[in-house]
Parts: sequence; structure tokens; C-alpha cells
Amino acid sequence: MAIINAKRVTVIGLCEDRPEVVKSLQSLGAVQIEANTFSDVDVVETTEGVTQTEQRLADIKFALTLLKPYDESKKPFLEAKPAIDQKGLEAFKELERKQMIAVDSLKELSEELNWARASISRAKNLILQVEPYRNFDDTFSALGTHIYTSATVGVMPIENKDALIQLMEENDGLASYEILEEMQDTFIVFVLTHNDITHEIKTTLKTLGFSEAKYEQFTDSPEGIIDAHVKEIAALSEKKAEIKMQIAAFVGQIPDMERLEDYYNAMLQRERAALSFGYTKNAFVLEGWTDEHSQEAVQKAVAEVSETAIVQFRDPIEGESYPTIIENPKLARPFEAITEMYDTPSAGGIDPNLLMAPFYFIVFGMMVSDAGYGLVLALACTFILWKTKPAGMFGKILGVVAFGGVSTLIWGALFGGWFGVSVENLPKALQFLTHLKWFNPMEEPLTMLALCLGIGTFQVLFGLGVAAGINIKRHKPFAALFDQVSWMLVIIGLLAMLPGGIIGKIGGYTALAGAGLVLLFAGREKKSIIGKLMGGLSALYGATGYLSDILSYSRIFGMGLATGVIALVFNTIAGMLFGKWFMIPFAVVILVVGHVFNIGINTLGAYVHSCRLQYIEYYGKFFEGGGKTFRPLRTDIKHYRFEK
Amino acid sequence: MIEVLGMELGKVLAMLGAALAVALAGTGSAIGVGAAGEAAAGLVSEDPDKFGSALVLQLLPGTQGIYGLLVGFMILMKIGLIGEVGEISTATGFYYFLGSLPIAIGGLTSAIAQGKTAVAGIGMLARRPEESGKAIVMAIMVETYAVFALLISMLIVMLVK
Repeated sequence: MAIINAKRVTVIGLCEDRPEVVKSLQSLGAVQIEANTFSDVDVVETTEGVTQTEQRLADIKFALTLLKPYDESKKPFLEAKPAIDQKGLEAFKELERKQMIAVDSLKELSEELNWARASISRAKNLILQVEPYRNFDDTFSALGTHIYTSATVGVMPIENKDALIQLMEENDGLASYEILEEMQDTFIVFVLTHNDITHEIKTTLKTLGFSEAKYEQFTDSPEGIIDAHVKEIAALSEKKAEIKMQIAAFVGQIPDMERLEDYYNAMLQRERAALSFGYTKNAFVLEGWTDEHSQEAVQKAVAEVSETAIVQFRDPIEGESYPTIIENPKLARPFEAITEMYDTPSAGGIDPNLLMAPFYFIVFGMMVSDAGYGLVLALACTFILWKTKPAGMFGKILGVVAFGGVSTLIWGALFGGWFGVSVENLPKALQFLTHLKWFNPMEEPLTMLALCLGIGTFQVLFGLGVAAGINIKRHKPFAALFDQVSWMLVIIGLLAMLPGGIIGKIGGYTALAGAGLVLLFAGREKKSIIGKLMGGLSALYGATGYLSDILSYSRIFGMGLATGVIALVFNTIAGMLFGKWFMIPFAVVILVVGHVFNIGINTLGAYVHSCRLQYIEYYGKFFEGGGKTFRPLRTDIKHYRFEK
Repeated sequence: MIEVLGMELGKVLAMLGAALAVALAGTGSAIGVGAAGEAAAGLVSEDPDKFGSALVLQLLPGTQGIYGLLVGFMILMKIGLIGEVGEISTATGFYYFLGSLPIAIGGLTSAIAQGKTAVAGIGMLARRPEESGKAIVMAIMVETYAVFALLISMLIVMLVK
């Protein structure tokens, strides 16, 4: 339940044993590899191996991406990844030869496919360009300057048509034209000129916006060009389909490629780690961090594969930076996700997870606050967890929501809300649930508000208590007294004043005493008397901070109201429809979709708002962040679940 | 009893409140979700795998609209448009109107502000995908004031006799 001590581990062994030692440590997954610090070793392992593995991995990924659209096999919904151990993973090496050949073929096929696609789009473009000249029945190559005449064809803006006709009439006898095609803004025109005036006409045409068609490479008429390219496109399309069939033939090899991907991924992780080792001609030295409970396992893992390698452990040296290694009981482990999202605790501080989990649990349930929803959440998340066994952050978050579901069930039963229906309105068979009911927040909003603020006050006090405990443990009793206990006195004293009477009086004096402590001693670090006094005054102003911290817990009620009333909205709408028999299917759809939507949006809201209460109102009191996350070398693969 | 448009003034005021709560908070959410959606679409076009996280960020400014709907719905229930209730005095109607104001105004402004934070958060998601949680927490900081507005709106609406 805490941060466990980190141990510096050093392994020295013969180079020939290195691959097996690294494999064994990767399989154990308890050592974070650090850069070599020995100054007298300088032979650095080349990055060649890493580059090669990276290249192969990239090729496999390329092949898998290429094949994905062709894969029509249906993956079952919610399926756990199969388990695999080190031996099984190693066995995938035999797939290498066949699959890498397949990958090479796929790369070639992909290039051919790209070429076919590019050719088709080129041909289509050309057809589009030549299309307007369809009425020109000679070949483009026949155009140009001949002995007596010059011929040209091109496009002109439609507004210059009259100018062109006029120009041609002026030069009648030496020039002629034919309009081949008229389009919206432009028209296609063929112009034949006697060479005496060709130059002059061409210059004038240019000023009229004439742009000559430059397709003289074609010895065919536009009609012929279009026909030829239509045929080419047909042929290319056939070819494309054929290539696609050839690619699709590889679909059956996807599973093997995925296995090989995992194999290369694990290999790459080892090779990258080995880059930070120190080397001499015959020996290597590995340095890293492990936790104190894993020392024996590390020793054993190395001894299993090498008779000569030496393993040493030592404590971190003063001032040395080392990772924060957290260990919690299995049930509290999902809640690590909440802290992970915030910050890594400092290695010298405390692990807040176990101190936070109960509060998170309580607050989450109060926010969703519907027993029916709690039941759905708890069952659904537990089912998904059991069925798919997800690892990492996602698995942890599912765990948190599953716990939150249980809490929601409890609070929902206490508040008497089941799928937005009050417990009194449930069918007779379920009336026994009324015994679980405490009060309905909708009917007694002030009680609910008091409950929320009460929980807030308790958590704020608890956070101060944790901070005081840390200070005492660090032999700073005065800091604990003046910075935390003083405030606890103020808060408890003010609370005690509420009922009044003799207890209220005592409470008043307690609060005053606490405030006095803050005023006199909060500025004790300051040098001058005035500085001390000013420090105390400004610290006393911090009371507003505690007030807003506690009031912030009223959000629990707000979120709870949102869930309850949205459920009520859907129930009311569906209730109106239930009156007529033919509307019943619609009513059922509204109920199902509405409640699923409500569960979704409120779970998201409860998740993040509960997080916020922990981060700001609670961790603000005692959390020391800025630690480095412990990232041991392990087998991190995509398609299988690695089990040692 | 004062009558307006053939209806008790109290009811008219309450309905005005319900309308304001839904319309203003909904407007804010529409602006916020819209802005965040544009940013999310940009991100997803580059990296479709980030759709899930981007969607959560886009959704956050949408809650104000729901809160407005809740308050509007509660007011309608109280004045008997859904279900049977007796007369609503002018004073009671005016209280319902006042009750709608926190979520109407708070919802409108906080949803727009939250939308901006969500847009920035989606930008953060593009550059540092591992920090998506922090982007969500930042947007939730703004949400606080919408939740408070909802709370006070609901308390007024529920406690008015």
C-alpha cells in the first residue's frame, strides 16, 4: 500500500550470455534499465540490430494495414487476447521466413496497385482535357505550320467570339475558322491562316485570350485518343481487380503476421534496452532499478540463464534520482489510474492511492446515485473485465467504474431510486427494497446538501491529518501543529458552533485558538517581526480556501440531481406513450436508449468530477508530485497477453 | 389573479423561466460543443485512433444544455404542464422564473468557456496524447460553475411552495 524502496541493480556478464539475460529480465518485467554510468567501458553496441528490427516491424505493419480492408473475418465481440509465455513467443521466429517473403510480395503488389491507380487517373484526366475537341476530326499532329498555311486549334473566352468573327471577316480569303464546340464560358475554335498573315493573326488571337491546344504528340484524332484511353482504363481496371485479388489471397496469413509483429515488438524492446548497456570486448554491464521485493527474482532470473553473470544491489545514494515504485493490494490497484492521471508521487513522499480510494468510491456512488444504474455499471464492467482481461490504463479505469457501480448501487438503495423510479412506486414484489431507503434527496434537498458538505468537511480534515502525519514522520512537529492541526481546530471548532449551547461555546473557543495559532505562527519562517505578522495574516486569509474546498462538495448533489431528473424525464415521456397500445414499442425504445444515454453521460461526469475532488480538494493538502514513473523492461505486445 | 394571454401570470412567468433555462443553456452548449467538434474533426482527420478521447472532450460542454433541460422540466412539472397541479400565484411563478436564471446565465457562459478549454484540450491531445486525462480535468474545472448554477436553480425550484 505504499511506495516501496527502489534498489539499484547492476548485472555484469559475458557478452555471449547477454541475449538470454535480457530475455529473462524482460520476461520477469521488474527491472527498469538505465543508461550505463561506468566510465571505463566504452565499446558501444551498434544500433544496426535495432534499425533492422525497426525496418521489419514497419514492413509488417505496412502489410497488415494493406490487408485490413480485405479481411472479412468477423472478430467476436469482447474477446480476451490469448495468453502466451516466453517460449511461445520465441517459437514465432519460425514464421519469419515465410511471412517476410509474403510481406515483400505485398509491398510489390501495393506498388503495382498504386501504379495502376495513378495511370487510371492520368488517363481520365487526359480524356477530360481532350473531350471538348471531340468535333475536331483531324489529328493534333497534323496541325502547325506548313508551306503555305498554318492550322491551329484552341480555346477562347466566349465574350471574345464577336471579336474573333470580326477579325476573320477582315482577313477573309487569307484566313478561315470553324467553331467546334461551345461551352458555358469558352468555346473551341479551329483557325486556318495563310502564312503571310499567320504571325499577325496569332498575335491578335493571343490578345483575345486564345490558348492553343498542345497535344501534337498524338497522331490520332481526339475521338481516337479518347477511345484508346477508355480502353486503357478498362484494361487497367481489370489489372487493378486482379492485383486486389492477389492481395486478398494473403488475408489468411494475417494471424501469422500479427504473431510475428508481437515477436519483433518484444525483440525491439530488448534491443533498445541493450543500447544503454556498457560493453567491453567480452563483457557487458547492465544497470537499472528494481524494487526491494523483486531482488531475489532478479537474481534467479539471471542465474537461470548464465552461470557467470554477477548481480549486485544497492540502495539509492543521497541525491540520486530514482523511479517511484508503487505497490497496492489487488482491490485498490484500479484506483492507481486516478493518481496516474494526475501526477506520479515523489519517490520520497507517500502513495496516496489507498488513502484516496475509499473517498473516490463514496463520492462516485453519490454522484450517479441510482441503484438500477449501479447494478448495470457493476455487472457490465465486471463482465467486460472478466471476458477481455484488458491490461494497463483501460483495465484499471474499468475496475474503478465497476467499484463505482457497487457504490452507486448502495447509495441508490439508500436514496430509494431505481432507474429513476422511487422505491415506493416499484412493483409489490420489490417493496422489500423500501427497508433499505434512508431518505430521498429530491424531497429533502437540505439534508442531502448537509450530507455532501459533511463528507467534504471530513475529507478535507482527513487530508490535513495526512499532511500532519507526514510532517510528524519527518520530525517537523511544529509544522504539523501550526500548518495543519491549527486549521483542523478552526474547522472542527466552527462545526461545533452549529448546534450552539455549551458545545457551541467550546467550539467557538477552539476555533479561536486555532485561528490564533495560524495568525501567530504561520509566518514563522519570515525574518522580521512584521514579516511574521503579515505571513500569519495572509495565512488566515487562506480560510476562504478551506471554505471553497468544502462548498465544492455540493457538486455531488448537483450531479446526483442531474442523474435523477434526466431519468425522470425519460420515464415521464415513456409514461405518456404507454397510454396507447400501439405506442408501446416507441416507449420501450425511449426507455432503453434514454437510460443508456443517462448512464453514459453521468458515469463520465461522476468519473471526472470525483477525480477533481481528489486532485484539488484532497491532494492539494498533502500530495507531493513530480516523481518518475517506474517503467520496467517488459514484454509489451499487441495481439497476445504475455504471462510469465 | 392577474391574467396574461388568457393564462395566469404566475404560469406565464414560470414558463418564461423554463424557456430561458433550456434556450440559453442550450445555446451555450451548442456553441461549445460545436467549437470543440470542429477541433476534434481536425484532429481525427489526422489520427482516427484519437476519436474516443476527442469525443469525450467534445461532449463536456454539452452538459450545460442538459442541466438547462432539467431545470426547465422541473419547472414544467411544478406548474402542472406535466401532471396536475392547482393554481400558481404570481409570486410563485416569479420565484420559478428567478430559479431558472442561474442555469440560464451560468450555463450559457460556462458552456462557451468550457468549449474554448475543450478546443485547447484537443490541441493538447494532438501533441501529447498521453496527457488526455489532464485536458479533461482542465475542462471540468469550468464545469464546476455550471454544476453550482444547476444546484441553486434546482434548490429554488424544489423549495418554492
